[in-house]
Amino acid sequence: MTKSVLEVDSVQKQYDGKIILSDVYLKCETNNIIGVLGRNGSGKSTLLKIIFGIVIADFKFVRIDGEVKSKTSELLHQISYLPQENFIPNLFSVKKAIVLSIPKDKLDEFYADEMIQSILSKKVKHLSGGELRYLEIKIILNNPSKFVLLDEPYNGLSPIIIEKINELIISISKEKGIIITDHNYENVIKVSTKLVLMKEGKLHHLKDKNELVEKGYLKLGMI
Amino acid sequence: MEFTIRKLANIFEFYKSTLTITISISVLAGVFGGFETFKLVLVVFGYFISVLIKEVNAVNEYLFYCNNGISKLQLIVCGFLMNFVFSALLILGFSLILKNL
Repeated sequence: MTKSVLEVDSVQKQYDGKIILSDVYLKCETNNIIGVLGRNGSGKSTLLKIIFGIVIADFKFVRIDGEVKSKTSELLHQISYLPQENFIPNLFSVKKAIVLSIPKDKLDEFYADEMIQSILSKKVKHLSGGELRYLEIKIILNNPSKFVLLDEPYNGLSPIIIEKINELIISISKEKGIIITDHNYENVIKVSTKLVLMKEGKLHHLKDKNELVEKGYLKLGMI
Repeated sequence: MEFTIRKLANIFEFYKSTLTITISISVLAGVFGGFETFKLVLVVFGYFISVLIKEVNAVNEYLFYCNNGISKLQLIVCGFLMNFVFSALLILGFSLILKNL
C-alpha cells in the first residue's frame, strides 16, 4: 500500500491582533496518529479547521503527496474532519447517513458492528449523544479520505465507547493518517504515535510524553 | 463513477432539505400575490430564504457534505440549479393544467 503525506507549513492566524498560530508546521503520513495537545484557546481547533479549509488562514501551505492544495474543494476529497459539534443532518435516518458517506464495497464491514446494528433503523435525531458521536466518528474514519482530523472525539463519551473508538482509530491508521486533539490527554497519549503541543501559537514537536510536564501542560504525576 | 453518484445523491438530499421552506414560502406568496409571484418565489427567492434559514439553524450540517467531498459553495449552486429545473417543470405542469381548465 502506498503511503500518503500531508504537510501543513507556515500557518499563520491572527484574531483581533492576537496571534493564534505562528509559523506552524505539521507533517502526517499514513500510519501516523498525531496527538495535538494544548490548553483551552491555544488554537488546536483553529489549526484543524485551517487544514480542512473551513477557516481562512492569514498564510498557509497545505501539501498532499508533495502537491500544493490551494482550493478547499481539492482538500475535501482527501481530508475528512470531525468537528466538536454534531454535524449529521437531524432529519436523516442512520442508514441514509451511512449510505451517503461510505463506499459500497465497505458497507458490509461497516454494518458488522453491534452498536451500528442497534441504531440502524433509527432517525439521527432519536440517537443518544454517545450513539450519535460513535456514528459520526465511524463515518469519518471510514469514508474514502486519506487523512482524518478528529476534534475532541472523546467529548461526553463513556469509557467503553472511548475504548471502542480507540480500537477504531488504531485499526484505521493502517490505511490513513490521523490527527487527533482532545482534552482527554490520557487517551490521546494512548493512541498517538507522535505528540505535539500547542503553546502560545507555536507547535512544539515532542520526543517524549514527559515533555508535557516540562513544558507546563501537565503537572508532575499526571502522566 | 460510484463517487460521482454518491456526490449527486448528497446534493439531492441537501436540495430535498430546502424544499419544505421553499414550497411553504412560495405557496404563501402565491396566496397573497397570485400565480406570477408564486412562480418567482418558487424559482429564486424561496430557495435562498431556505438556505439563509439553514445558515442560522443548521450551519454545521454543511460539514456532513464537506466530508463527502462537496464544498458549501458547490452545494448551494448545485441546489439552486436543481431547484430551477424542478421548479420550471412544476410551473410548466401547473400552466398546462390551468390552460386546460
